[in-house]
Amino acid sequence: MINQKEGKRRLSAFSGLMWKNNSAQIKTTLMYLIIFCLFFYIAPASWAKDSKSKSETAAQFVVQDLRVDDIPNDDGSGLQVSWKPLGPEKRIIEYRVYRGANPENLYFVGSVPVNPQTGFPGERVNYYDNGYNMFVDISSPAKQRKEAQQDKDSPLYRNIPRDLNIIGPMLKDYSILGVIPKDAFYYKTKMVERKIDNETNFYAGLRLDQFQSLLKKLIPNKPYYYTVIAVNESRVYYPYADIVEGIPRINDPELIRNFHSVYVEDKDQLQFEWTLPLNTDLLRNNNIFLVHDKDLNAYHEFNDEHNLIVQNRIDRFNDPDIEEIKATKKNPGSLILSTPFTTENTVSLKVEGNSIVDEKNGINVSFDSDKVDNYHFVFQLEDWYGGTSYSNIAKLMVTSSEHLPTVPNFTVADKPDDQGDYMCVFWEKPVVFLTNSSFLNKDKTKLTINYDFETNRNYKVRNIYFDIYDDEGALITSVNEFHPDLLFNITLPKKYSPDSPEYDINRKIAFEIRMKTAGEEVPADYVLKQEMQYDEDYRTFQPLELYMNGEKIEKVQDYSYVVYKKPYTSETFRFSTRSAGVMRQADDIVRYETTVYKGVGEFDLDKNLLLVDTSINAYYDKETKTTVNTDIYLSVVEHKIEKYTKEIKDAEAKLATVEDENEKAQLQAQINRYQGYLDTNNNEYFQEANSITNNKKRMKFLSKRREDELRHFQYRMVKTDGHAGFVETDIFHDEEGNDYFIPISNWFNKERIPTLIASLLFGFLVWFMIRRAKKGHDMYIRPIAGLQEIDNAIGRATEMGRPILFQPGLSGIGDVATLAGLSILGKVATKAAEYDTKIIVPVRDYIVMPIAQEIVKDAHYEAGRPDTYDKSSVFFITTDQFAFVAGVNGVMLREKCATCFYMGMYYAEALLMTETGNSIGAVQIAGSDAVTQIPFFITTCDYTLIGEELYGASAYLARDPMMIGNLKAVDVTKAIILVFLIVGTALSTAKITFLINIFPDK
Amino acid sequence: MKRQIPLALVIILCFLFVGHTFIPHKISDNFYQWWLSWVRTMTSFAVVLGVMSLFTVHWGKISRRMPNWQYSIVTLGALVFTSASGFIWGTQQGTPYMWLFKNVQMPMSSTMFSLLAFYIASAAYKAFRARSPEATVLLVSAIIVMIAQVPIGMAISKWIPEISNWILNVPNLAAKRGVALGVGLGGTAVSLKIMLGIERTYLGSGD
Repeated sequence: MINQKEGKRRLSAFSGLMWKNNSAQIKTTLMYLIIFCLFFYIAPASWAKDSKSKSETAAQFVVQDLRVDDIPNDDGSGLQVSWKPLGPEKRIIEYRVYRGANPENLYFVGSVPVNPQTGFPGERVNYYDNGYNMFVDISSPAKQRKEAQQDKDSPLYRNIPRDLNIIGPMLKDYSILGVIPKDAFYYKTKMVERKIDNETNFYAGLRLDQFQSLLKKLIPNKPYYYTVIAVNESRVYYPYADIVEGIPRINDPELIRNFHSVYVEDKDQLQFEWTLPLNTDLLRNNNIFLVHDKDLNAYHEFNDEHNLIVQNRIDRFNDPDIEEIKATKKNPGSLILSTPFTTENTVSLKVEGNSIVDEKNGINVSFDSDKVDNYHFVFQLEDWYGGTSYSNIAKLMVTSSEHLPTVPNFTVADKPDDQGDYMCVFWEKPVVFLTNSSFLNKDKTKLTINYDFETNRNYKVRNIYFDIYDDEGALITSVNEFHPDLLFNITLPKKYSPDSPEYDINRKIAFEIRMKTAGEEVPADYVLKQEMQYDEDYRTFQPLELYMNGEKIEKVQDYSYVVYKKPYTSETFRFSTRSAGVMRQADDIVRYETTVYKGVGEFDLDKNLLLVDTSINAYYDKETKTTVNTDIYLSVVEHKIEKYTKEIKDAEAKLATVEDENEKAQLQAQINRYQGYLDTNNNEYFQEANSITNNKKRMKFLSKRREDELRHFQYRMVKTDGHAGFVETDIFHDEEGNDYFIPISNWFNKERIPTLIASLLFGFLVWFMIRRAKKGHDMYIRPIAGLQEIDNAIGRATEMGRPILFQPGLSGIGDVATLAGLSILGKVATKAAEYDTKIIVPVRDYIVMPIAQEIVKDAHYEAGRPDTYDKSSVFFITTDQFAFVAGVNGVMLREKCATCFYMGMYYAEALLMTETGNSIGAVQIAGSDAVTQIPFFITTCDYTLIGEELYGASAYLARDPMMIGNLKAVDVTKAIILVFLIVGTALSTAKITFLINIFPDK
Repeated sequence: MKRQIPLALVIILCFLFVGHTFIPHKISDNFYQWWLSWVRTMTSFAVVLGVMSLFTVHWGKISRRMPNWQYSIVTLGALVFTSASGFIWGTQQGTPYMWLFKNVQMPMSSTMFSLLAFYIASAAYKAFRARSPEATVLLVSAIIVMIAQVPIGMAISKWIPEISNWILNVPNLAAKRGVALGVGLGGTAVSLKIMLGIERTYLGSGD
């Protein structure tokens, strides 16, 4: 053992020896470095890793009661993994979940983070493995790796790797969906041919890195294996729990809990509304049944039995020995509606002559409008596997058209000034409504009224006029909100004050609201009425119902405007957006196609490719209402044409010899199918496409129509109270009769016209002023003390023989302040080089660093002193804000800088640096555009360049006509802005708003 | 050429990005996004420059036994150790890297930040000495604003919070907006100087 003194002696002796030659010095340095690193490696690592109590065994850290259950009411792709969490004393930071299609190989699939101080806040931890979620993407590891801290027999691995040798065999264990960038699928695949039973199959092959990602979904009725590991805050992975099997099952659809039915008497119309289920993947039909009063009991019995059957099915999944319950009862309800499932959740049915008729579905159910109390309705969801679920029984509510909301008059148009991925849907006239109020004085007679308004692109609200009346109809005051700022003040008669002896809680203030708009004008008789009444709870006046042109809008926020859209390539509408009742417009996103989704089931290990099918939707045939497909390779199309022609010939020959009618029908169907393909490929469009022999050019041709059709939509709206009290609009047609709309990519943003004009004006002024400066006109620049003192400050450092510190701010090269700081650095460095004074430039941004080095180097060359340039005088410290300031302060103190320049963007660290500069008695000159830091600079520095002075510094120092012209242009522009400000303020004060309305809203 | 090519690139790209401000078209946006992805990629590679600079500067100090060269060993050691711990054990919660971050980096940063309170007091003392009419106005304004932030302000007079609000919202805001206006225009002018090739300091010598 060597004691401390002996150690020191030996070390100093060793160091002394090393001093003697250079190589020895390097060795010493390395030795110190190694000692330092070893110390830091061993200490924190051991502190971090040894925090667990030795007395506790690892087994105590295994999660208990791990269960894997099927997720109910889903499409058979969901499993719920759950377990009992460990206590907070175990300091668990994360539970890691592993899954595999066999118990020998389980991969990390996700984790549940936990606060180690509080533990997991619940009795069980749940992890849901459902739907399409990440299988492999660019962030997955390249090779299969065992999970950390696992022995060689452990079945646990990290994430599924990007290795086809591993992924390929796993494709059969999951339903895999490849997300392929559009261009990769259109133009960059490799055709792969495979012969199976004399049948040639064609695939599009893509390398793994060509996929954006691979998503996975569990396959119904297939077993999967799960385990969970608890990880403590020192990243100790505890033993995994016993591996548990789980099997996802296809279940009956989710129960619909909010089903409403309404009968609109005067229109003889039934209306229904329901909430959509969460999982809609496997749903096939929406059905509605009418249940007569007398059949209610029978329906309840049927429903009870149905629920038992559903439960029995679930129980039998877990225990096949349980006896199957068979249906004995029939639904006593009469089917009145059956439609393919869509994301629409309202439907209306016309009652025609005391019956509900749907000839297409063979429905004819009697309905006596005089006995509506006898009718009840049930909503049924039906999935593709025959599973069904029923809603609550909805009693028929009776109403009339006048109690329904008014039909919204809506318009659909391209959203302007965008890249063409939004349509704008807007409706009705602007609405202004009161929101709140608050008293301004002790007497409670002065009131601030808060209001809000919603409008759309047709109307730009300029003025809002409020006429305010008391309860006797006398006008209290009128307010003209010529610049709507959402509040105004009024003075009320004393009788409204809650402290007044005349106070009556039922007393109301009545508001009549009118408005003036730009764009389309609202009619003069368009008046909104709303009252306010004192509310004891809020202790102020609160708004009551809003009346819009006489129409009472009760709880205006309860109404919803729902926009539905139908793509050109489909026959069903789908949900687009839902807006609250006060809203007047909504944006509908219409995305460009950027990715193609393809099922991945095959792979080619030799070629290192994943294989997907080659087909693609080419266009939608409106006549047959079908999507017509083609292949991305022309050779595949030609192969199919040749093959089908031959198949038709063979089938026709066989048809002539066959006598069995069934076989004949089958052959005829086969001929029709093949002939359909040939006919399609004979149409004009495909003939043109197939005449292009180059696959890439052919796909370019096909993609144009395909993508165009995918982005064309029809629109319609529903205005609803959420309880089947709704009105529907027709499909929107524009003035030219078009009913399909596509957003347009705009070439100019009209909102920015004022910006463009200002920029051009500024550009012109710069050109004009530079021209004047070049002609020798005298351009006065006011003296800036900070810049005038630069020479003196550098001279002081020279005299004192101490260095200069220049700090070009904390932001990156993209910040104008940094650029301005660097231009000043050039001048300062040149002067410093001339005087042979050392300049130190610590930088925070590693991109700024080489630029600053170049500038300082250039300055030394310019001054004729290249020998004095030291590259390491411009150096990077760190990107961390406070570590950086500590570094700069350290440099200042050690080097005892005589002059400090701070030129650029600064944050909270500014004061720390300048106070340190102060403490060493340095002359300090700062320049910054950071408004919050300028006061600190002014206080602690000798000279400060405020805001734009920083930008003007280079012109001031260089006295170059180009620079000065630029500076003068800024001054003239400022003068113009000042004129606008003064005139605008004066006009606005006089309630003349045309000038401020010229400028766009912020 | 080492100067002309970067200058040409800067000028062309400046005009393209100014164009992008006014052109919302998909082609323009695609180009902009494509460019941003390059910027992100290049920026992350540029960290090598910073690390190289750190090594050069501190290795020079160590090898030349410059004053306080021992600190450079600490700096380089910390750099090597911190990055290695991140590479070896990862950066998740519970790793040595996070331990260092929580127990070394955070406290030291907080210490530096907390020093600010004392420096602000010192700066305030310097600023508020009533040596001139302007400084007196500053002193009075500061007292009102500070008192209005605490309950005692309201207790003294209900006008104090209102005056404080007025000071903050009228003269203070007007001055801030004035500076912001100048900064905006000055920034535009610098950008224009770069676009037109008048300002070239950022390019260095190119030799």
